[in-house]
Amino acid sequence: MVTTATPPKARLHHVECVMGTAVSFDVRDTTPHRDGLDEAIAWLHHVDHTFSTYIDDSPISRLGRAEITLDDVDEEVTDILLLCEQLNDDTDGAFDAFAVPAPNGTTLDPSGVVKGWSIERAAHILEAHGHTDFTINAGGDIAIRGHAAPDTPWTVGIRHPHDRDALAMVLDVVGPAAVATSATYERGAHIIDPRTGQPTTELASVTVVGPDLTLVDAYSTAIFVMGLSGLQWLARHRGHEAMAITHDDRMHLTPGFTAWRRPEIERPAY
Amino acid sequence: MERPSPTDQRSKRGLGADQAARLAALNARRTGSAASRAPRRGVQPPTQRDALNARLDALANRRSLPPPSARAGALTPNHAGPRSRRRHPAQGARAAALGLSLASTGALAALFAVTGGNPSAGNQVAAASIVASPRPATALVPGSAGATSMAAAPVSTTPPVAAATDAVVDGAVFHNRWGDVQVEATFAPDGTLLDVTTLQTPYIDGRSVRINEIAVPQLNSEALTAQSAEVDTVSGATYTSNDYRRSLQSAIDAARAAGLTAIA
Repeated sequence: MVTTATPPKARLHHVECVMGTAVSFDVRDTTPHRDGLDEAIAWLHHVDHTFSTYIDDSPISRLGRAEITLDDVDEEVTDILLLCEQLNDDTDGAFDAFAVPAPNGTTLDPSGVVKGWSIERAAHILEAHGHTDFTINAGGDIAIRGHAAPDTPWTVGIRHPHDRDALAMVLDVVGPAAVATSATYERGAHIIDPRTGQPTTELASVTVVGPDLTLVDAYSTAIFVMGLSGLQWLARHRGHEAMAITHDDRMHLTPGFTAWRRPEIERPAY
Repeated sequence: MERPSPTDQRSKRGLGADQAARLAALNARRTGSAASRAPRRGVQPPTQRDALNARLDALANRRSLPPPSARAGALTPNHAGPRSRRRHPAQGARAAALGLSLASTGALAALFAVTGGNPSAGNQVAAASIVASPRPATALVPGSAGATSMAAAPVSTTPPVAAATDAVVDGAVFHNRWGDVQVEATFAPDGTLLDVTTLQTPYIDGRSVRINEIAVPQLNSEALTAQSAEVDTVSGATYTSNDYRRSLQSAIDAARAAGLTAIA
């Protein structure tokens, strides 16, 4: 292979406030245009308007109030709800889009899938426009493609649930991959166990790594509800690894999780 | 990474037109039903759609009953009473951003007009410095139940080295149901955002304090991650405080208006 001088990096960085969170795009390949970014942003706003449980007249809110039926909504709404039902079966009810009160007063809330799914799809939009190396971080849930720099993995910090300004671990990740973390303090509210209606308390945070943010995000939520037993449950999903942190500040890792762990943080010698 | 199983790949390309068919096939295989015929592309098999409609109907019926107060309380731990229609967080941010982008020297006036913020808090520029922090070690301890356990010693992020002429900009004050939120942003001479600290956070009861003690540093990290050399990005649940973001945005805009930074 002929090695030539690395072309200058035209880094594209953008933060979009959408879906109630800050979505951060970090594109590091040399694809010059930002058409893909614009399309991805438009897509996320479309998803927001369709699935927001904060908007009273969004299709999902109207569906939750039974003002409309599946015949009246886009196919993607039905697809998402079917995926929610698959996850409900798969998790024995630990993930349930029909059981937890939503901000719009209904109990139809597929948000646990929508964010990861929409970000994963935004990643596909960027790829369709020729982008190869980027991350999209939506409030701590990340879709990853390619490298941060030539031959350099992305370094992904896992937020420490109990220690301000600290990371619990740093991962080296080469895309395509996804990282999602669920924790109790999200948006100042607890994560509700749909089987009991009560907040879950066993874990302080759960991080899942896998190939696709749609499922990675949903699995992190489900494991958070399941507790430590969720780490064993995850074994049925090949390609996924998880880390749970309990309130005594112990990390509990699935056997393959350490493969993602950054061996050592390089420190410059002064 | 291991090669993902077909199950894991089912949404590899997002929920495309053939997603429903793939889901149906997956469901048929797992439940062992005889309905293993390939459904038409882009059309949900009637049985699954009917099941979904049945659940939606059940939802509508349940809505006619008064909601369990325990559930409503669990979702709204910070204040009493059910939450009425809330403004979508992004709407406020967009409104604030719009107001800010329209203004230059009159940025603050526009901001307060849009958001109703506290006019007594002006933006100001002054000198400041950054303090570095050491990194504790991470110790391995015996695991259990097939999973490895270790003490979750924090790995402190290393703040950028401060130059002598960093600029500190106070963001506008935003008031919410829990109190006032105001941040202070530090910019390097080249306009890089170095640090964000919180000048005011809401305080009403113990829970508010608890939430903000944890939440604010996360938002600090979120703001800093974009330019951090230590890690490229951070995974972690984010308390998405709209007021925090608006205050930070107002600080950035004020800095930009003063020629201190090129951050958008």
